[in-house]
Amino acid sequence: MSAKRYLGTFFRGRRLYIPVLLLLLAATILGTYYLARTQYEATARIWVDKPALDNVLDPNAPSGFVVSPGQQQADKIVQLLQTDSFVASILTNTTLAGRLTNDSDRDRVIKDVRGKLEVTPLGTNTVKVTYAGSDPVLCQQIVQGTIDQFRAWDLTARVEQSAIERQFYEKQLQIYQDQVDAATKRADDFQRDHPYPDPSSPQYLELQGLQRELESARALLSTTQTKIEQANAANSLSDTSRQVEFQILDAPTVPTRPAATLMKLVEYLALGLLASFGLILLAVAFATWQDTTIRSGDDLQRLTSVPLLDAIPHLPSEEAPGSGRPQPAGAARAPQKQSGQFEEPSAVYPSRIVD
Amino acid sequence: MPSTLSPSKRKTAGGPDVTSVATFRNLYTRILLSLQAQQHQVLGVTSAIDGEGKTTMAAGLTAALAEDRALLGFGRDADTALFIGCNTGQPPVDARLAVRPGPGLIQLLRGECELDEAIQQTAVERLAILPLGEPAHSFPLMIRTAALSDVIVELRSRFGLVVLDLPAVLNSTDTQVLARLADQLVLVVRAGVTPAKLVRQALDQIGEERFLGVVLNDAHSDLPAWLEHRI
Repeated sequence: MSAKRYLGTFFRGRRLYIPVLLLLLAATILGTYYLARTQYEATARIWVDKPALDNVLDPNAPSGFVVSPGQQQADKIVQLLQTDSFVASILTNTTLAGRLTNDSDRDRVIKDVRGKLEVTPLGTNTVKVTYAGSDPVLCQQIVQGTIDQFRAWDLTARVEQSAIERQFYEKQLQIYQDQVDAATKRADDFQRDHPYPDPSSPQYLELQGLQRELESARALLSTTQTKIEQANAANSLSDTSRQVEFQILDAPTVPTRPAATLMKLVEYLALGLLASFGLILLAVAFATWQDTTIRSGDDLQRLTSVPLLDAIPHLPSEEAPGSGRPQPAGAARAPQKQSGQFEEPSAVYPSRIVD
Repeated sequence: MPSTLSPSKRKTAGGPDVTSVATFRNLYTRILLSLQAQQHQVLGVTSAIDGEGKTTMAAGLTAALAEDRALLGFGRDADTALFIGCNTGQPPVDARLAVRPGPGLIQLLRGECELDEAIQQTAVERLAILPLGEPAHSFPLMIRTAALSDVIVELRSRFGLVVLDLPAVLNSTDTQVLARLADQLVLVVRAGVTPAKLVRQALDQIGEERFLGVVLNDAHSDLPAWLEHRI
């Protein structure tokens, strides 16, 4: 269908479309105003450092610097927020705690909070946690709860991790110790059998190989012993020392003013405008698609090869006098023609001349 | 300026309705040119469904060409046109084509009157009318007799142009019977009312080759003038 047909549908239904469009735009402005007046936002900024013993505690941690600590911690918080248990633990100390007892209400509340919580890294070491809502106190409580719960989770995870690591390395230590003992015994036995081998003899070369094996086993043992010492040190770190890795730079406060920024308002307005125009465009497209009637000479020409003789502006219907615009034939909407002139079909209603 | 006058003032006292004539001038010119080329004399006006303005269209173009004395100009021997009501719907709304009580086509076909008795002169010079007559329910039977063909043959010799106001194609099989008497047909399509599918069906039912052309009635643009000229 041509653009003209769509435009025709719009202008034909303009008494419907334009008021609806205006209503939608008014609703958008009112909605934006309401959001601007009732939307509060609590924010916290956290400084995070890469833990000094992170590589020790996390055997899977990449050796090179790939992800910034800020990004790493933000990712962790975002992942935790995807779990219902973590969000529920945040809400435990908020005014929403009472709604967690009802199953259906619990799901809705958790989903709602999850949608309004935003965690973004700011630079390499800072993470911003923001919650936007209509209750300023709740905003502060949720942001504070998020930080508290994450810190608690992080501590627990590290302690548990270090214990597991220690157990793992202790087992490794035993294996490496056995390897050192075995290598020592093999080297001693060989030296006993060949106390002073000639440097050019094969025995000398074999002795050197046994000594290298022993050194290698000792190096592994030494590394493992160091790791165990580090794991023990990490496990004994106090909360105070951990706070250096996780500092709250800006603690969340109860917002006293609505938080709508100009950008946010522009965003809401733009979305509203897009949605309004989109809705009207869809309605026009649907109405055009539904309209299968002949409306112009072009429609007729697409339908049949029978030529269009003329397009008469308006004549009343004899069978349905009540329909359309009932006027007597003589009073029909007259084209701007002067008697005696033989005009070509107008540009508006193109027709083929039959000769 | 005709466009600024109220409808009641458009018609000059005792004279033709200039706006109505102008409205149909293009249409009858194209029709007469085509009929002249093919020596055709009987034109049928129909539509796919009722309510598309076919009777008004038929009456309007017949009255316009009669007022303009157009028949002689297009090489016809007789300068009088005849409008035959073959449609059991409402008669033309044009008061000048008002029918006096009396016999019509049905009585003529039943042999109850002579041709001259059934034909009435209208208020428009050079335009006669052959009304449908009574009773309308017997019309479908009468058109299926040979009498109607004989009447049409007679009328061909007496009038420069005979215009048949036919029923809607998709409403009655009478149209297919009557359409055979016409040399050519004009299909009236009302803009914004008739679905394309029904127009297609009507053309297929009669046969596209029988149609001289299509007239788009009630054609209007929904776009404002400033936009219309830009597209």
